[in-house]
Amino acid sequence: MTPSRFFDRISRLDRRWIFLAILLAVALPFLTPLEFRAKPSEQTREFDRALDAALGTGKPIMVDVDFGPQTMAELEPLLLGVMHRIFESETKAIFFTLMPDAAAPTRQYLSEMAKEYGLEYGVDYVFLGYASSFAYTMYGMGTSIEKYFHEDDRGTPLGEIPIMKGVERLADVSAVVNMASNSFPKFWIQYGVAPFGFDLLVGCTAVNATDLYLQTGQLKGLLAGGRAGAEYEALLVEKGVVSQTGDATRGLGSQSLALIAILLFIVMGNAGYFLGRGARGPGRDERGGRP
Amino acid sequence: MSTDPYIWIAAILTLGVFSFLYRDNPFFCFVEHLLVGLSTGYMFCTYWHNVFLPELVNPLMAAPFGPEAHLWVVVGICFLWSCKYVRGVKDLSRLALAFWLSIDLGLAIPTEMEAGIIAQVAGTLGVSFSGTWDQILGNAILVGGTLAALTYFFFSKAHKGAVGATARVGTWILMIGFGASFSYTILSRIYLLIGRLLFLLRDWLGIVN
Repeated sequence: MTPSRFFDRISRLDRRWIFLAILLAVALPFLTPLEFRAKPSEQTREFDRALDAALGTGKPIMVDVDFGPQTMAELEPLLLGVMHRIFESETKAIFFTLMPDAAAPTRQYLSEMAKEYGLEYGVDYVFLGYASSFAYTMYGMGTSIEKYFHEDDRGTPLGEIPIMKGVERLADVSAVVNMASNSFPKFWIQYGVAPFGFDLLVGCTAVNATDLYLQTGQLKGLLAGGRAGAEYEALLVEKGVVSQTGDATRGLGSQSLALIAILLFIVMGNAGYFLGRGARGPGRDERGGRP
Repeated sequence: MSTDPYIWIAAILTLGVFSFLYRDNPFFCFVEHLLVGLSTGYMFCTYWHNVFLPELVNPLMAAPFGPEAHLWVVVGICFLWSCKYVRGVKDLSRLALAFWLSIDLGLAIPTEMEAGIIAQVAGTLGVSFSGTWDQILGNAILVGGTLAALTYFFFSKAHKGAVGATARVGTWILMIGFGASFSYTILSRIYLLIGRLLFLLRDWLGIVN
């Protein structure tokens, strides 16, 4: 078989073979003893330094969890890393969500953390639940949190929750951490940071990373995607916050192998297209006609 | 292998979604409709119990003309929205739309000017050309690339000569930006697959620790 015929056949390959190849590329590293490790980048360390500075102020920190089950694989390691960091430093934390399907996972994470660190609800942490109309809530929390969250997730009025004493607006917390699978970090910058000027740290999916504004100082820290999750896990092990890395590091091998497979398919597909075009003659499409 | 029935349900539904990769089939259609139905029901209940009742109905029922009496305006706007389904008065729904748009734009325009334009321009103009060689090069690309990309969208002068060459560089900068976005998208999608496979192999089948 000539190279041009080979690449031509590759470019006509049934897409189900490609799905199968990606499936194997992702699954195989889990079944082998190979271990991949991430090295914390400067951006990841910068995020941790900013978080460290916020945790050292003595004020509570706010965490807005805006991801549902569909992006859990990417954002769960980031959120768990931040939670470990907060509760290990014995800082009080106020959690809430602006996305309806994030409430159930957040309750579960908080319940696990409460068991692990022996936390008391309402004193060490609180979950305010879900608030609608994200833009108005972000903007409104700059002047009054109680106006948008009358009571917490368990139905207790905010005034009766010990951790909420002295916390009336966003200026009363050390920083806001937003873990989001959507454009909410961008809206936090627009409706929160721009008018009220607090510190914002963001963990987001990789697909949203290019929308955000780190270099302008509008964000104090940014962790983007599973790769950043693996780096943060490595950093937390390095600092002794946790004893071992988690699922983000576990996925590094699969991610690398899947990316290599995708790159190979892109190269082979393009080679097939160009070599096939050479055989057909310039300006002819794959059926021999002029496009 | 897991003995938890919830894990089994989740695993079977996951396989149902994946079955579409082979071809469309009734199992996938069932899972698809189940997801849409569950999501709609979940959202309806969430909004009903977290927004509609506590934010509107309960305060008005407790004291119809008390401190929250302004909520009657919201009720009125809800009725205006509903007018779009009644022939003869459907134009009244435009009043509700106008009310909503005016509030949204009033909030969005000044904050977007501040966060999306002024801060970005200041960030681009205020870069430092000192430090290590890679920082200087990076900042030079940031400033030069921004100017070149903006030139591409400058249509008051023909893209010829120096303007044309700069605009062409701008095109490349935009393409590199789109490429970065696309590669980040691929990374995200792979991680979603990793999450599901880890669930199947570890939580369901138990063949991975």
